[in-house]
This record gives sequence, C-alpha cells and structure tokens, in this order.
Amino acid sequence: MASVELDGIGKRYGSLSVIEGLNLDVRDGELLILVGPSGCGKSTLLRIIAGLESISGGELRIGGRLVNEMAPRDRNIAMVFQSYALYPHKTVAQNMGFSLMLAKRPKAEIERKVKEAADILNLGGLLDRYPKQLSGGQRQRVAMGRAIVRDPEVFLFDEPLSNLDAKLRVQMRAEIKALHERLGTTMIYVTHDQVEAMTMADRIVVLNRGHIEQVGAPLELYDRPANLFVADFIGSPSMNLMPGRVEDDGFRLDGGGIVPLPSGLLPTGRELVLGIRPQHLLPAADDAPAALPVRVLLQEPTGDETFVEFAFGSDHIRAVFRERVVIGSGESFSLAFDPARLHVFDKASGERLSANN
Amino acid sequence: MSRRANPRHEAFLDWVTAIAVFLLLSPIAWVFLASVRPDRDIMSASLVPTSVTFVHFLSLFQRTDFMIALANSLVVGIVVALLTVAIAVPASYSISRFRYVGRDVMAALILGTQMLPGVAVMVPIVVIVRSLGLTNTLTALIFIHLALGLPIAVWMLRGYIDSVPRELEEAAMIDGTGQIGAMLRITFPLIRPAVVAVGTFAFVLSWGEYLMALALISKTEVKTLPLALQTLFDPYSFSWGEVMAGGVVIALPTIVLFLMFRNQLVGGLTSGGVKG
Repeated sequence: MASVELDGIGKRYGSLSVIEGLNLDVRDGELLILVGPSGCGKSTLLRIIAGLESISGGELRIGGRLVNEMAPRDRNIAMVFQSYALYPHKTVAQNMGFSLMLAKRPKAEIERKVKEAADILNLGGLLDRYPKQLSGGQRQRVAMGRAIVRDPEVFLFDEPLSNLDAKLRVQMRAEIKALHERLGTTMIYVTHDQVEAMTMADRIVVLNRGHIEQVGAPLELYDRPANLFVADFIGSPSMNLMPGRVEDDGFRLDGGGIVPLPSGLLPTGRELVLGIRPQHLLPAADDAPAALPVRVLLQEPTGDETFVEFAFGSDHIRAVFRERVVIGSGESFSLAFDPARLHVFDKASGERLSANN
Repeated sequence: MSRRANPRHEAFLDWVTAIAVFLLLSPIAWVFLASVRPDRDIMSASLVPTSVTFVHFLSLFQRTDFMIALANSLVVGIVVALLTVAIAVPASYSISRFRYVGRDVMAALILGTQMLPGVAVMVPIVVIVRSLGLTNTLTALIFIHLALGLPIAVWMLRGYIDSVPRELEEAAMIDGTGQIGAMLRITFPLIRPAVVAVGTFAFVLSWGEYLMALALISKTEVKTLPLALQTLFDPYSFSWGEVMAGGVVIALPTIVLFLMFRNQLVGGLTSGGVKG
C-alpha cells in the first residue's frame, strides 16, 4: 500500500501540452477514480503513473519515493488494461504468474499465489485455458488476477469495464469494489462513465482538458458541483443549466422564460447560470405559487420513472418523475421545485456561487 | 441481392481453379516424370513412362561439380535465411515500435529498393563486387541475396508486429521485463509464424537465384545449383533425363520446406490479428 503524489505534473507531445501543472494526492488505500470526457488526459495521467509515458514536468512520488525516471517494472504497480492485454500464447496460469516468474520466484510460491488469486476471482477451473478460450468477463477477471498476484502497492485500472456488456459491467463493478475492500490497496481507476465513478469511488477526480475541475467524494460532487463542467458531467440525466439574469420579478432566462425566485435570494442584475437536476423537478400542484409554466415535448416512460422533456421559452428542461405521469405531447404543464435545490453559477467564470445544497 | 453462391457460378469457379492448377502443375509434373524415365522415352508424346529408372539421379550425384554446387547453394541459402531473420526482426521492430527522426524515410527507402528491377542494378553491383575483390566468392552471393530479400522481409514483419497490440508489451513491462525483454518474450513468440515464413522465403529466393550468380561466379568450386544446372546442357554429352533430375533436385528443398512449415506458413500468410 502506498500513497501517490503528483506535484505539478505536465505532459507535452512536441509543442502540444496535454497536461499542465497538475497536483493530486492519492491517499494510501483509497479507490480514486479519474473521470472525464474523451481526450481529457485521464488515460495519459494513468500511463504517466504507470511509467508508460514520460513526464515532461513536475514530480511523481509513489509511497514517498520519487519515481519520475523509474522503469514501470520497478514502481511496484499493477495495471489492468481496457483491452485486458492478456498474453495470447500463455495460459491463464502463465499469464497470472508471469510477473513472479520474471522475478525468479520459486515455482511452488508462484503456483500458490496464482491459485490464491484464482480462488478470489473464481477462475479455478480455467487456469489451463488460453485467453481466446475465455469469455469477455473471464478475460477481465484474468487481467485482474494478473494484477493481484503481484501484490502491488498501487493498482491502476484503465477503463477496465468498457468492453463488457451492461449486465456484466454492473457485476464486475461490484467485484472490483469488493476486491478493494478485501485488499485495501490503493487503486486509481480511469473511466469515462460517471455512473461507474459515482458507484465505486472513495473520491472522484473530474478532469477536463488536462486539468482538474474538482476532487471530492461522489455525493459531494453531485450535491455541490464546483463549476458548470462538473454540474453538467456528474449526474444522469445531466443537470438543467439555464443561463439568464436576475431581475426584480425572478430569474429571466436567455430563452425567455422567467423562473420565480424568493426575493433577496440572488442579487438583482447579475448574469448567472441556474442549475437544477431533473430529479428535483416535480409536477406542481394547481395552486402552487412558484411554478414554471412549461409545454411537454417528449416523454419516455421506463416503468419506474418517467423521463420528460419540456419547452420553457426557447429553453429545454428535462425532468425525471418517480411516479407515472400521463401527459400528452404539446400539453401545458406546471413544474415546481425547491429553491434550496438550485445550483447557481457565475455565467462568466462558470464557478459555483451559492452555498445551497 | 442474395449473397449465397449460385451453383452454376460455383461450378464455373471450380473449373477455372482446376485449369489454373493444371497449368501450374503440368510442367512441374512433367519434370518429375521425365527425371525417372529413360532418355529415349522422354521425347515420346505419352505422359506415362514405359519404365521407371533412377539412373539420371545416380549419374547426377556422381558428378563432383554438381555436388559442390549443391553444397554451395545450401550454405548460401541457409546463411541468407538466418541473416535475413536476424536483421529483419530487429529492423522491422524498430520501424514498427519506435518513433525517431528519419524513420518513415528509412522505411520508404527500404521499400524503394524493390522498385528497381534486378537487371537495372546488376552492372553497378558487379562493379562494386569486383572492386571489393569478391568476385567468385560465396560471400558476395550471400550479401547480394540478402539485399534482394531483406526489404520484403522487413516490410512483411513490420505488418505483423504492427498487428501485435502495444499494450501486450506494456503489460509485460509492468510485469517486469524491459523493452527488449517484452519483444523477446511477448512479441517474438506471437510473430513466429511470420518469422518462419520470412526465413523460408529468403532461403527459396537465394536457392533459385540465377542472374546475379551468373554475373559474379565463373569458377566451378563456387558455383550454385542454378549455374550447375546450366552446365548440364553439355553439347557433347547431353541427357534430358539428367537435366530433369537436376530440376527435381532444385525444386525439392522448396517443396520439403513448404511441407515442413505448411501450418506456420499458411498461418503466417493469413492470420493477421493476434488479439488478447
């Protein structure tokens, strides 16, 4: 087990800078998830920690040791690749025992450790098979087994579940989390799937264009996104973000609609972006004072929830209702919300303003 | 539109294949048959031998010049095959895996050498070899055959190395190898069919090469098989049967090599993807 410290890490390809001055402390034993859209630098960052990419600037420490120039094999890390990267010409047991064989460990010890890892991952009957004889989920397990056998200080996962089907993904998600709880080893996990990040992480790092937008516990990011990017990225379906201006009678959206607000909640005249999660919009009672008059555009019932898209002025607002709502397209509708659930961001900087929950 | 094969089309294609195979094989079959027929029998119109004899092979193997040529060809062929593999594997690995200034130019130049027909470079090669004092040596032949076969070998192997995912090597490097170790322990075993194919190809190319040998070799003790075969056309004691037996001897190693490495070769020529 070890902490990982990134101090002013930078990465350039020629004149193109993909990561600049990035600071991050990964605590000993935590499951930290790096999340962000494609091209945000999350995989590059992971590969830098693994030693597969060189560092253009800054210092990287694993367990307190400076490892900038250290070869991957000396960093005492293990990595699970998106494609699993199992050696096709080696059996499951040989794949898993490869690192120990290279370390010239006694054969009995290799066999024992491989068997232990195979037991943890339910791979017992598959040790003599070749990767091509395994299903996607089994390959995924072997890749994890290969990492476990090494007993590393840090596990690195590079989108390990993105090649699996939805059902298996949910199952493996739980298995990885259970594995983390069992081993207690530091894990750094890269994904573009915010649901994966929310369900598994101790802490999430939201990356965008090579810099950190926010670091925090999953619910902290959900409840208090630090800026518009995080607000938009975390949560599914994503938050309604409505730019506008505070006026005397409420918040006038650029799209024309007016959101009634308790007076004095926000300073008049300010250009802001108002955010509210689809889950926090409710059908309004007929006599509710602060309701949004909207028109139904589209509804998608999923059985336990109803996903509805509304037009509000020229803005679109998404809502998710717990109960079944029967409304026709084009009908008028009234939406209510709890002002305490509002998120307020500065329009120019995109930073969070209010202290609302 | 249905993609299912039309039986008439299939029958037609079968026939085209049969005709192509017949056209390809009949001269070879004729050579084999003629090598075991008595001389007076060979020129008869019939393909069926009246009697079978190995006298042509016996007289051929009693000729010391022919046996020397056989040994020379084996030496040159084997050395060329080994050197081709020894040079092409690291060269193609470097082109496939590393980024450095001039890499693409070099790769293009290697391929570019294939654009010139052999005859076009024959005169300069002869001049160079002569100025090096290497005429009538097997060394010169080895170098030239190496130069003839290497470019294709490098490009063939490069394609195979490209098809081995980089992540396999990265996983190995995390597991405890260095870059070279990853190449030897992971990539090399995966491209082995292609390496065998390249080596076989280099041997066959050298074994049958005639033009450069003709231009550089005149002494009996350094002649290779194709040249020795030519000397069988002796105007004073000429035997078609002996010439045909020589043809069989030349063709045999190619066939044996192909049969030995058939699985590896077919694998090497068709299997591109090595996915984990």
